[in-house]
Amino acid sequence: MLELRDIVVRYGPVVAVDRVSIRVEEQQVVALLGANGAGKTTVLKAISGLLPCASGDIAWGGGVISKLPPHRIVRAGICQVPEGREVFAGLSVYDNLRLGAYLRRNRHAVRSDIDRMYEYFPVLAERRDQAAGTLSGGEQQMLVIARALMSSPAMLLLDEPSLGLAPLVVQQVFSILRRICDDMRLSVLLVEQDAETALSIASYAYVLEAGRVVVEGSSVAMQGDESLRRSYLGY
Amino acid sequence: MRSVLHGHPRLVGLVISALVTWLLNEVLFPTPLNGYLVVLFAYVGGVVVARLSRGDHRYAALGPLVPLVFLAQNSIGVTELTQILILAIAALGLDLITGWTGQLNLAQGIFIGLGAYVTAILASKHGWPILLTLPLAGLVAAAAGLLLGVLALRFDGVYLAVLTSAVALAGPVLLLHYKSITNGVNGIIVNQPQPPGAFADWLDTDQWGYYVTVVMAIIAVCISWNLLSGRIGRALRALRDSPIAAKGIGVDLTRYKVLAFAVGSFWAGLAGGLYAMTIGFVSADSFGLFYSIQFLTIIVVGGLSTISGAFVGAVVIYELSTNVQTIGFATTVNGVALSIPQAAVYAILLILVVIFAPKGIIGIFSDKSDWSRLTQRLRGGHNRSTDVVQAQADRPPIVRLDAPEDPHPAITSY
Amino acid sequence: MHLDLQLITSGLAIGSVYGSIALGLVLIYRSTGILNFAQGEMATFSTYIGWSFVVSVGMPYWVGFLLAVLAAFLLGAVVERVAIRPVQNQPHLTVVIVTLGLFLLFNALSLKFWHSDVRPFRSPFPSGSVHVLGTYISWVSIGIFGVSLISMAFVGIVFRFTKVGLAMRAVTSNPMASALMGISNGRILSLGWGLSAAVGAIAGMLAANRLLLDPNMMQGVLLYAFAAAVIGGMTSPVGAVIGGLVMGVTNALVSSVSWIGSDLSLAATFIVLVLILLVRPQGLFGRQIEVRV
Ligand SMILES: Nc1ncnc2c1ncn2[C@@H]1O[C@H](COP(=O)(O)OP(=O)(O)OP(=O)(O)O)[C@@H](O)[C@H]1O
Ligand SMILES: [Mg+2]
Repeated sequence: MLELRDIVVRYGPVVAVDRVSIRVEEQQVVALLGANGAGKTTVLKAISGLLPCASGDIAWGGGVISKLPPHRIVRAGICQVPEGREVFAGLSVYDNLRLGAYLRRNRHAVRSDIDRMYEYFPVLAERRDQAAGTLSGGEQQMLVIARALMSSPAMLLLDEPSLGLAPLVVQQVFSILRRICDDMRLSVLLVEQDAETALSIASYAYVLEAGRVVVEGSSVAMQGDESLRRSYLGY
Repeated sequence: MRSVLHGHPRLVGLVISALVTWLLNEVLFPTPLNGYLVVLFAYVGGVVVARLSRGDHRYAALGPLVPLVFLAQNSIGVTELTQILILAIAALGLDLITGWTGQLNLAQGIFIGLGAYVTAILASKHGWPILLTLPLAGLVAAAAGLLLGVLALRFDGVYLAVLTSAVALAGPVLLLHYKSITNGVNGIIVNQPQPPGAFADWLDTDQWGYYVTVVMAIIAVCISWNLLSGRIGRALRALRDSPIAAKGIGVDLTRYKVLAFAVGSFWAGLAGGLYAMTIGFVSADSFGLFYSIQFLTIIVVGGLSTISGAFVGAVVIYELSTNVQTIGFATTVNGVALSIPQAAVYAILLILVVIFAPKGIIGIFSDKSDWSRLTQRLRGGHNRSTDVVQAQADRPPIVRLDAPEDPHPAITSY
Repeated sequence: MHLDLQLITSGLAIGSVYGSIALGLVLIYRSTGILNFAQGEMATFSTYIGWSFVVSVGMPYWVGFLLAVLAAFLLGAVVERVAIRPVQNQPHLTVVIVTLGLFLLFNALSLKFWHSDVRPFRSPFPSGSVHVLGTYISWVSIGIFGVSLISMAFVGIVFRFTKVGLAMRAVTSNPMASALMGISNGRILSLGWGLSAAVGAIAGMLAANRLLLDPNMMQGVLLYAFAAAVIGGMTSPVGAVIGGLVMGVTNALVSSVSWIGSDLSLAATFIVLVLILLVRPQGLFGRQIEVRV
């Protein structure tokens, strides 16, 4: 179980995330919603250790991880798919996937996982030797998701996986994600602009505004509350 | 001159500096007093007066130049002070190039060398009066600097570092090669000029050299000041802080970068001429990459983009490079005597300064945040200011939409 | 200028030394954007360590050689950790100043421990020559060239075919993403510095006999290595190695022209460097790097 307890994250003097508390149970999908600049990415970066928490702490699987460097957090089983398709542009698709499994020792299992990713995302199989930077935007998005899964995490942090994808591809990616979550028994913290889609996958959601949690509740309740949808989620 | 002396408080600060110096030097301490103390007192006096009269205290930094005029009789050695001022003049020039316009120049030493050779050749081989060669030394170096500055426009960052260090490495070799002009490894001996008739009774050669240098330093400071306090100064600051933004608001990058290189090299050449005049010997191996790095060290340790930084840095580096052996950095580790060589101390100082006090000595004293950052880093603490605590008060209520009994239902199917 | 095979091979030998130092510069530059001015001085320092093992302690040459390379590796890694990492995110000028400080530091340390007199250091290669294509090529040249090439090829293999090499390429390509893969960027960068220093030490050991071992041995080499790295556009390892070889050969040929001599060949190198920078700033092999705002 991942638990953020009153974390504060700052960029210099600017407080970007202000006492945010979030809980993600095992094998639960939780959505983190909010307008541009609300602080969603910042929350994920704090969990991954890319940004320090000015106060508050983050508990994961019985320990506190808020002081660990990013690579230790990956080792602890939390893997982030960063915003904006951060592929290793000059490296091949295959090398990108191998890097996803950087911490894993069992070569055999890694190889079979790569094959499994090729199964989930057949485009990647076709382009396995192509430089990742030359993939299309959607293909790159699939690659970063597959790459994160290669670390066989217990918890996946997804930052706007639908960004810039065609609606049809969004559906495709989300349905693959669903399948993977079931197969790999993953917990997911999902950041999304597209609240409707996110709520359809998640069971619980938090709405962030100007760095603070303003609403939280089950997806069903959120979908049912029309005024809330209008004012915060925009659909 | 107008903008330097504009406004009474600054003028008053300067006058007070002069008075304090005179008092300290002649009345209170007729015995030789440590010159740095005098300079410090004079500076503080100038600052206090400027502050009290609500003037800009930075202008009182000119104060230290005033006491210098009176220091030739006692205090620290005149020759020592002369060399410090020469270093400072060249450092001022380098600061214009590297500090103000952000162009890393590792060839300042070779421009000093150029100036030194101009003076030495004209004075020794052609019998020119030495004072007449000084502006020419500056101009020749400025011309070379102009050339390098135009070249430098095509490069930035690491390429400029490569280019200028190549100049610094290749320059001395070239100077040594053309023996017919430079006398090769034998170098050129320059006869130090005698003070002219009217001064001959009061001053010896060293003191005369010292006063010439002081005058040059004052001219250099005044011109730099005028250059940097007005419109050009603002443009240069914009350029340094964000080159691309400066371009956006219409600052002509090209002109200022080249100008900085030319003027900065002029000061180097002038300093070179003074060097030849006061040391009395010029040889190419003195002007290599190490020499250039020394000036970079001066401006970094003193404080980049500050005029006083060049002087403070020059004092520190000069003293360090001449006295380190006697200061006694020798220690024993496990009974083995270990003395750290001078250049190593110098290098470690440089590294420590950029890591811990990136604004240099001037920055430490003039900028509170820098000082607290330094002490904090030394203590290893984190910088947590109060706004987090303050924010606690106004936390908005969180709307919970759930039935309370089951806030986090585990998901088994979608 | 006569195209003398003997001159060319001797140029290739010293060129491989330039190439090694340039390779070290490029490895560090492409992963961190840092120009390591201390690359040559660290090599000199490590060479002295090797010299001490071989001459003072009396170890067999190749044992001393390996120890020196190992020491250099550790030295590089420690330098990264202690001096570079604290300023890594500082402005460019700050980082360059730190490497200049290291340049001074290692020069001073070499001077301190081994003094300024030239230390004779015998070459590990036989002194004779071999008769090829109508000329004689010295074993020393062949040895320097061969060992340098092997060491550079080793670096290439590490980068291309090992997991650590993959991680190094990942950190170079996208440090944020590599941290999210569980790679400790700091450790990888330390490793990169260690590797660069080790390659430099090999170059220093090989060149010591030819250039004469003194504390300033590598300063001229550094200029040629800069030129070589610039030929490679600062980012291409292969370009840097080829650049080094080109510099070595042209230099040998230019120096042999009577009215130029070895003094002016340094200046000629400088002119070549400026011309390359003017005509093709991205180098003959490199790609254009975007300027970060
Ligand atoms: N490196 C930074 N330096 C300063 N401020 C930053 C930095 N990164 C983000 N911010 C600020 O922090 C706030 C939160 O940014 P964040 O990236 O977390 O938003 P977000 O919710 O992910 O937005 P989006 O939906 O557009 O991705 C914003 O106001 C942003 O301007
Ligand atoms: Mg975001």
